[in-house]
Amino acid sequence: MTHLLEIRERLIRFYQNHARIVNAVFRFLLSFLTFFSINQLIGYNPALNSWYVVLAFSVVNTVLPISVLLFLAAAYIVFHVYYVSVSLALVTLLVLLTAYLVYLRFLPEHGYVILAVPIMYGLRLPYLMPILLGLIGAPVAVIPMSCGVICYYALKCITTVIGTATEDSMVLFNQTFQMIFTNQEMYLTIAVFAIVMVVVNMICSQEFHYVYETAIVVGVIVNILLFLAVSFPFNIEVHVLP
Amino acid sequence: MVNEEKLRIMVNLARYEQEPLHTELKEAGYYRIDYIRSHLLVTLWSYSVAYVLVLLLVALYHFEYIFSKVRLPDIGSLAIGALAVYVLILLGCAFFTVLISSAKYHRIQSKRRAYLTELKKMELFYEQSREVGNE
Repeated sequence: MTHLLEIRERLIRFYQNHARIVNAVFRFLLSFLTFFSINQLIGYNPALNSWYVVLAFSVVNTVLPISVLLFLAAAYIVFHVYYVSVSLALVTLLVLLTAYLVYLRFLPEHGYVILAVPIMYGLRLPYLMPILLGLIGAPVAVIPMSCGVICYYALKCITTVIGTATEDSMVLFNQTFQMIFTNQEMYLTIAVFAIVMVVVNMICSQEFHYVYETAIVVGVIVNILLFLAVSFPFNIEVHVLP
Repeated sequence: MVNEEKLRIMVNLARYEQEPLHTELKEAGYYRIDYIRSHLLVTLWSYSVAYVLVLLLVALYHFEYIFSKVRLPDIGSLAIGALAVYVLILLGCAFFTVLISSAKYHRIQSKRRAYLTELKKMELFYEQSREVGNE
């Protein structure tokens, strides 16, 4: 046990001595993961899909404030969609702009949670998100987490529509929105993630031994049970691995 | 010999002078009405632009229906309906903005009072050390 405490103290001292370098490395890794995940989800543009472009953007983002990452991620998505459909790219831009004006302008810190959800899906770790947010966040984080899930499923619907489209027209926009609004898996995921997050958060606010471990185990069990309990009776197809 | 009470006050003051408390202390310098008014203007402008964008998205979604079935007299009633919804949304936004801004202003004023109290305690320490130095 003391060995762990020693490691913790060494890590704290290392961070205190090299805070600037560690922050820069962290920003680089976060940017790299963001652009890599966006390429995994919606990588249509071959120019943006290449490794050196991702690395270049990540290096540039190392010296810029972290709030610029949200703007660059949104621009990345719009440019990817623009490569295959101009009308869909315009609609994506309008939706992102509306989301910024209505929500992110007043609560910019929630943007990181919204960005983290598609990244977790890109890394095949989406079910970690509600448990992590329940452990470290407040119940209000349900809102940006739900927005992140909507964002991921919207991108998925865009890729499905583009994959089956034969021409670029406003019909694509209608099809995409219809697909998003009738996506039962998305609504189920939002509801289950919200419940898991609130349950984990409620357990963490208690005071007993091994509270975090208990919260994680309960969160995982509730997650599995809720998905099974709702998807089977209502015949909703849930993709376990995205 | 380090004075623990003085150190505690200095640490508290350093905490207040870092973000995000530093920005909140600057905002506490505004009058209440100016603070609420600035937030109200930002909210009304953002939601007005967002409403226009959402209307544009809705119009694009119903593009075919609008061009094939909507006539000139219908456009008037649609515009009045859109304007009524816009006014309702703005009133709602204004109400919540005033509520939230007032609560936030009250909170940052109490933080400002706490900061000024710590500053006065620090000033008292300096006066005492000057008197001891003079003696």
